[in-house]
Amino acid sequence: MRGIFEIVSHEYRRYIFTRGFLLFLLIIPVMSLLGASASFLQDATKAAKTFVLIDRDGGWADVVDEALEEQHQRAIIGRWDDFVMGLTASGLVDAEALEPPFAPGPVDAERREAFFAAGGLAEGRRRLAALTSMELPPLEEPRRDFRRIDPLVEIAPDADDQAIGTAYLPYMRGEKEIPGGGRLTAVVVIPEGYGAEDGPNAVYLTDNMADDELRAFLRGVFREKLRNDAFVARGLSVEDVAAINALSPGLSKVKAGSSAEDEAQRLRDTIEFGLPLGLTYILFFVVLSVGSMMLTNTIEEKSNKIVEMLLSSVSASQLMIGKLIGLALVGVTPMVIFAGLGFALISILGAGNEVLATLKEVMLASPLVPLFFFYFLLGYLLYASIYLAIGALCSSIQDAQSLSTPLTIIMLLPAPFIMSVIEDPNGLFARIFTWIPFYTHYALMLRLSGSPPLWEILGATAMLIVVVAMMLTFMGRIYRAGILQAGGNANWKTFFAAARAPKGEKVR
Amino acid sequence: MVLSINRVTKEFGDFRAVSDLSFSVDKGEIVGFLGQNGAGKTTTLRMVMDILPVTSGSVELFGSTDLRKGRLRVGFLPEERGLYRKMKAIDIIAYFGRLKGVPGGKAKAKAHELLERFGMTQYANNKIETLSKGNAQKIQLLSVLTHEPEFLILDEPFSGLDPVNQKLLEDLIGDLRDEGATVLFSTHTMEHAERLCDRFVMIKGGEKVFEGTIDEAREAYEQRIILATPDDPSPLQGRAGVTAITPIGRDRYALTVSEGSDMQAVLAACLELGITVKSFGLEEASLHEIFFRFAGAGEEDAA
Repeated sequence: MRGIFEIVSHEYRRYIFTRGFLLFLLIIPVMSLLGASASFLQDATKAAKTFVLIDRDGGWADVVDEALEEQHQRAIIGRWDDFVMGLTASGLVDAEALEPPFAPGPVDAERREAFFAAGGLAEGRRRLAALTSMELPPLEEPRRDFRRIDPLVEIAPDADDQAIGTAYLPYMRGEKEIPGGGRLTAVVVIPEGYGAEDGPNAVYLTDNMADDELRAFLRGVFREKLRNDAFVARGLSVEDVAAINALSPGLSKVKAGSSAEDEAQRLRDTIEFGLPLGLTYILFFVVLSVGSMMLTNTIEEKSNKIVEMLLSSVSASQLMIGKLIGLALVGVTPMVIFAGLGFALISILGAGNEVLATLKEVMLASPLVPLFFFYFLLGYLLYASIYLAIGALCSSIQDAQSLSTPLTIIMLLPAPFIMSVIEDPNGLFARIFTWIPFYTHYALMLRLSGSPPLWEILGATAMLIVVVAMMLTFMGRIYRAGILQAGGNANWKTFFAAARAPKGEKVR
Repeated sequence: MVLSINRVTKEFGDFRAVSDLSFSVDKGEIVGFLGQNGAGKTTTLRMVMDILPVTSGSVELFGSTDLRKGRLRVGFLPEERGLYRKMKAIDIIAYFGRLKGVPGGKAKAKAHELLERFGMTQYANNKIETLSKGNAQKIQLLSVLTHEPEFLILDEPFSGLDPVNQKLLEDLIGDLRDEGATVLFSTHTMEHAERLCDRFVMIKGGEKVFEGTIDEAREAYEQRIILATPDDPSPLQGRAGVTAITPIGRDRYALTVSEGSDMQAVLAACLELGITVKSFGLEEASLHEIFFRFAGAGEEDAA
């Protein structure tokens, strides 16, 4: 026992107390911070997409300008609502004390008009300041997404698309300046008779085929205008059209058994659905990375000829068990650290935040978290024991590749089917993967929120436990036969031959 | 009795690596374990350390067949040896001590003490990969001493060491002997064995061919007479028990005589035959020569 303990502590310390591990611990918060700030940064640095409208039909420029203004106003109100909700969540003000149109809520035409008639952001800020003694953080108007500018080039009324495109290309490529700076994103040509049945199409000329945001926006504007005109032409009043457009029936997604009114329960259901996804991803990532640590680690001991020194003090089985436990702890440590930190953060910051509070509640109450560690252990033992055996037969990473690459492929094989398992947790693929030991632990984690039959959970888990036990025995044989053998070519033939080696040829 | 090997046989499949081998090591002895590459030395030592199980026979350490327990009192330096490249010298010495059952704090203190004793304190916090090969090998040796072993088993300890370090190691083994340690080491460098060992065990093809002191070895060794003469000594063949005449260099011949032959009679026969005798005497066999004879090594193998 003492020997195992020493091996465990050695294996643990050589990975945990290193600069590399500290860096790894830092990388994850830094990455998530970057991810969180990426959209903010993008927003802050994004220039408005500029376009020119060549209107040969007439009246479209006003339609587009109006839509641009509406979109911008919605963005302003959206930012205002976020601002108020953020302050409310941190307990600085109470959103309910604000009167319409400044109280957060859905943005319809009425509220929009009232909001800007009342004085817009500046007035809202003044009213909010009256509710609290605190100094309010700064709030700026969001940037405009799109900007229309007047035509830059004289174009003959009968010029075709190619001629127009060629004329504007220098502006799109930044070779010529446009008013307000930046590059021209697109030129939109609206032909005469646009929108009539069997009429000609409008054309969106651009040098950047990847960006479809502006085109999608304009297409929506054109479609709405044409539809509204058609409704009016068929005898509806402008008010009727507005009323029809405002129709937006809700369709709430409610987990069967919960109540639609129980907002908290609905939130909990969403989290209970999302959590296993995240946990499965972590499971996969950790098993893969700790498994390859096991491989390099075993190869190091074999190629640097350390192993015989070890074996003169501990048995091969003790060495193997010690390594398996030590590296399992290495895999668990970052998870525990992040779970602990996350939990502390949620507890401190999440006081007023419903989502975070529910997340915390779900993590504490649901069996998902303990099950996660349980399946981590099984999945880890399954893969790590194979890596251990491969490592024992190889004296270099290059040597090991012919054996370890197929294992990596096996691990990645179900990737294309993951979506179908998520969408249909009791479907054919989900059930098939449940019964393949290499994937049982992932499949069950993903399926848990879909309430699979209990016998399937228990049966597949029992089978996984049996397979893991067999793997440990079988891979243990290979490890003991291979670990002191001198080089030679490692392939599947030697791999299985090692497992069959008589007892006398194995290290104790 | 520190180590006793009784009729041990080790088979790998159809291959018999060690065959019916018996020998023992007494307390305070330094025993050389000699044999060619592939003679079965490493396999035997691995069986003593319970790394490999015996096929038949038994091994006793400190009078007990419980090798798991006994090996904790043994310092074993394997032939194939290495260290974790990223570990600090002090940590590695302490770690191998802890594996032998020395408590953590004591292992570290002992590691410090060893480094100091061998003048290597300045390397204590260096990673192994930054050390020279010779220094790394010294760290290796120190790492088998942390638990103050009563019995040292060193498999080819001199291989890979330069002459200066070979001398250092030789001195170290001498020091340990003076402190009462028992040492069994395998080698194929006969000069070290000859200087250090009280007794020798020689094996060939997995079988013991000799066990005893160097004097006993010389006695067991079939002695030859060295005759130096400018004449042709072949008429001696068949006279006074001379069975073979082997030229061994310029005007020098080794005479093999049958058992019980009288050296004086051979000399008399020379004079009688008119062979000029420039020198005449018994061959003083070195361990090197005895080794070749017993272990049957070709010159090139054992250099």
